[in-house]
Amino acid sequence: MSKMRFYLRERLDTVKEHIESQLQYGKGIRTWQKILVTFLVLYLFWIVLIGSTATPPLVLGAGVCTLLSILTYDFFARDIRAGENFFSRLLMFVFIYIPELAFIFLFRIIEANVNVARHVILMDINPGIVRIDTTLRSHTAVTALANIITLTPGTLTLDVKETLEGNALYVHWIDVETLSTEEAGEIIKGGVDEWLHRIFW
Amino acid sequence: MIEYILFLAGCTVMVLGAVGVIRFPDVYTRLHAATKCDTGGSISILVGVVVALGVGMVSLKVLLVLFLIFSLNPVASHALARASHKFGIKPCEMTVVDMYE
Repeated sequence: MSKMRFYLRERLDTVKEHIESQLQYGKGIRTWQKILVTFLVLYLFWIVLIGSTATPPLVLGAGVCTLLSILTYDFFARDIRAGENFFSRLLMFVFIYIPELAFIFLFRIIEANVNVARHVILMDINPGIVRIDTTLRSHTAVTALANIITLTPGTLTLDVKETLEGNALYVHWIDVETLSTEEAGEIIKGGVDEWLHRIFW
Repeated sequence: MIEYILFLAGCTVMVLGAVGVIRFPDVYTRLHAATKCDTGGSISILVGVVVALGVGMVSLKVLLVLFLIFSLNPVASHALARASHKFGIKPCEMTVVDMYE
């Protein structure tokens, strides 16, 4: 009986946490910050696609990007985590977070290719579909995590299901090392989970 | 000189991926070979193109293509794998565990 009561209390705490995080998630960053982030990304794409530094296309691009970012800010920047100082986080993102992710990523992709080449030649595969849990909630963050898992050595995301603690991912693993969900999560996700937690819900 | 080494590495990875698509036993492992080697080979070849062209707007566009391959390749492989699992294609006999479904 007492065990049952403890179980119910734990369950209740999980539900409460879930509701609180959902309420937080509704807030996000402020509207002008969303518009600014959308504008910066769109303008960067515009400059790369135009491919020149003459003045008229840059001015035209600024006008078009302003209009578009006012119309569509809620699609792009909805899932960004709210923080204390917006500009310092933006600078941190550009100069520290992105190079960090690129650095992690480069080595992982080289490793992935060497691993797949070894599996092709030796056929020492041990495939299986495992489940891993993540505490990320927003759609953007889960999409990014699933894509990065698919690009890393020997793993391929099959499906995502929403749970109370976050999301569960079903991953096809070409060389299964462990069957426990937590250990598999640590091996497969690496540091990417924490990286995404700094930016998204 | 560096670009030729990068081109050679990319082509080697692509050929290994093609061999893997033939040799692996079922849909899911074949998708591994196809997607991983596609990404790795195209990274190597496109970085070789950037090295050959030098710094400029055209190499920025090549990097944009690289970014698009990065973000679209996993989505396609995920859609194929999920569709084949939903359709009922069983993993091969070597499979250790299937926690999905």
